Amino acid sequence: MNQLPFVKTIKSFPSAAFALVFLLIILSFLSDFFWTAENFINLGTQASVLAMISLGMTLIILTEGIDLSPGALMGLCGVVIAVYLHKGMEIFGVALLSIGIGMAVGIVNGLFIGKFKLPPFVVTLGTGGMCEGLALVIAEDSSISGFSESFKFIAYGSIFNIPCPVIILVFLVLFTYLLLDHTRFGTYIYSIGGNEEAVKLSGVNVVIYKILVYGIAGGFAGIGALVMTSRMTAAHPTATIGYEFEAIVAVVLGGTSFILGKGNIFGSLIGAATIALLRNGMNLLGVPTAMQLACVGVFLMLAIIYDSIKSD
Amino acid sequence: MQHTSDTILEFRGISKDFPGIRALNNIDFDLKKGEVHALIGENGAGKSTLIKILAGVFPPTEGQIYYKGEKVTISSPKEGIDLGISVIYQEITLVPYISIAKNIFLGREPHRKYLPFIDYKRLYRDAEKALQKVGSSVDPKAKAINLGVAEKQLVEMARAFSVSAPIIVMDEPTATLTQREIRNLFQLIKGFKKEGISIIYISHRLEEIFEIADRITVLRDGKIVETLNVDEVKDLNHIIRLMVGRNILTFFSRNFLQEKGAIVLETKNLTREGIINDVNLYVRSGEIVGLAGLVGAGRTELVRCIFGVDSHKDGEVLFFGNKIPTNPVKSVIAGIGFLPEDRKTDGLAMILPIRENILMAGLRKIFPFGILNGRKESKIVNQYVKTLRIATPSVMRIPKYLSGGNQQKVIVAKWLCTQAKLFIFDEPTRGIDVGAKAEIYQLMNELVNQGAAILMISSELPEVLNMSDRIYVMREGRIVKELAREEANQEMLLKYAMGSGER
Repeated sequence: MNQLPFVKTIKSFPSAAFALVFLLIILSFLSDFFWTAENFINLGTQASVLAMISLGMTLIILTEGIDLSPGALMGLCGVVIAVYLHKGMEIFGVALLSIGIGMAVGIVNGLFIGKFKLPPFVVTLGTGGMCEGLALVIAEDSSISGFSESFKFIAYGSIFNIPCPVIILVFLVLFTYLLLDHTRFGTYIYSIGGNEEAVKLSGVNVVIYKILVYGIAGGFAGIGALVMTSRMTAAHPTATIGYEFEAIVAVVLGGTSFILGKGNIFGSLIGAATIALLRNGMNLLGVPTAMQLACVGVFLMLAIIYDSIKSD
Repeated sequence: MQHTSDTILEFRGISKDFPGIRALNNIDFDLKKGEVHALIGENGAGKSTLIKILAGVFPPTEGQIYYKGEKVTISSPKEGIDLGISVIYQEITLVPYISIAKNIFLGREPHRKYLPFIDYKRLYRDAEKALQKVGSSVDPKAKAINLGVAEKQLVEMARAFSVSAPIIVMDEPTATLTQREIRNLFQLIKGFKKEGISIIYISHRLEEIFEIADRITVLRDGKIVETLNVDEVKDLNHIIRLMVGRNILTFFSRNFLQEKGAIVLETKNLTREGIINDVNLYVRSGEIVGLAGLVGAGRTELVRCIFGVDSHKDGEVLFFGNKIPTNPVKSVIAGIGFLPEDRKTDGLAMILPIRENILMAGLRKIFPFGILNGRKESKIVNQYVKTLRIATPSVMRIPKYLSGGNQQKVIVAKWLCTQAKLFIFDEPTRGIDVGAKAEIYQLMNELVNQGAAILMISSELPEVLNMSDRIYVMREGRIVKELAREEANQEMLLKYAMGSGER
């Protein structure tokens, strides 16, 4: 079956790429406000946090795992950040604290999944629940606000006109890219999903790498929480719940498969951009939040259908 | 078997217990420097268990391992690799979405000197070399997912040989290779011997063993029956007797019926674009029809179309003269049973007990109202276990613990439950040992004697020639020749399968 190189190239794009272009065109027609610098800075910030979570989620899904905890984990990190800001801790300190909590929860996930061989779905659902509960207890069921102006810099500041969240994201992307494509660890991430037995028989300690993968994803959630808290200038214990769902959608839209260790982070980034755009567009058009969630679900279904038709 | 200076590896009194079974019983085994030591025995005799103990996959229950005269414990695959034991496993162990080069050096990726990064230049160069050695010309940068079965096997070999280990274990290395690739492998093995590398060679193909091995150890039921030099072996039967503990008099047991019954299956111009092309064939009740051809000729694809797993573009499938819609549900109801090549992934539910596997397809016929009756189920299952002589202590056992032959019987029982009239066997005896093969042949013979029809794909020429009433030869998706049993011989089959003059 001969195919033109052009057709082949098109076919190699993940569904997210088409969705992104489609949304860009539609939104330029529907909203006058869409192509404004202000909106794009807003969009960049919104997309950055989701992209961070999606990066970690990609690593996990590549190992044939899943992580349902980051939404709740971000809530917990956010609340802890708020408490310690009020106690007078510096930005650098709360940043380390947030990343530390994220990694700790991730490592706990990884321990149960890698060491004790429990299913990732159940483990992360459990730790997610615990994080949510803990966040609610610490925040006493309400949101915490009233931070210093300097803390706002993380979300609203910019260096050379590039918003801080985007800069943070670029570093994380670079880190993840190097990790996946240029280190042994990255090779093992693909391989654990592709054929775990082969990795074990090659004398590689699979348990440690699984723990690390969940640890890194947790750390990314910690960074995401930092940006999120700064952007909302408040920490609400349950505001970020649902981020895990959007991250999974972004990863799948980006062409990463739930089986066999197939996929890459760049697809996930396009996926995250698509979802942020979808949300942004619906906000501009005044679509209610519940309806937005349904639309994201529809996108997920379309992406899965597209990929299954393509691979046929 | 005492220790001499040229002994590199020695097992002393090795036993291995799994829950409920003693897989290995007091094994004494030694491997000399630079020898090819063949390990043979029926499936379930304990060969793979022995290999896995050596590779560090699991520890022995009792006994000691001596490496170069020193006692060692190998408690993880890493320790096995570090010790210098390189294994080509029977099941293919490649990772699909990383490059072939990364697969070859998995766990041993070359590193940059001062940075924690993979040295891609060296990786690809070394991979290229390793692939060349085994006669493979695939691109080391390509992902492994796109490789064919034989190419995968070559990559596995490239991996095992690139370790430069003093001991190489090969578990059924030639199962998927062509003659030319096998020749190349044997050349390599001879080269290894000269370098003083020792090889443990497991194969069901006894002719190969006579050609390449220096010594043969025969395992049966977890015990060593005998270790002997190749020149002590009188003939094939001698070895088979050691393996199964008895003579196999009638290996291919067929009584060919003179009167054939009605046409059960017929295809007319069956076509699946680019894969199978204009196929016309028929199978009558009371006959076995062989489907011969090279790997990749489209035989499996054809039967998948007939059974309805894959769709076809043109043509039709007739069952007892009626056109049937090709989808698996309708095919099963009509009375077609499909016994796929890969029993473990396509033929059996490996985590369900034998009982559920047998009943799986027939529940609709046995209980048309959808309400199950445990007593009736047990009666049916026990009856099939008895008549098909499925060797298992209990019907609640999962098929993983059965030999390949018994697994195949479970699948036959499954289709008997649906009252199948046509059985499609795809490579019925692949990976099945000599003793069980004879039993499968006997079973196939009984099926056709009772009026069933069989369509059999087989790559083993003796099997096709001795079991089939008629043979269709396929090449490049087409049926290129139909041969009656009397006129067919090995040369003819090969000639048509390869397309004489071409190539």
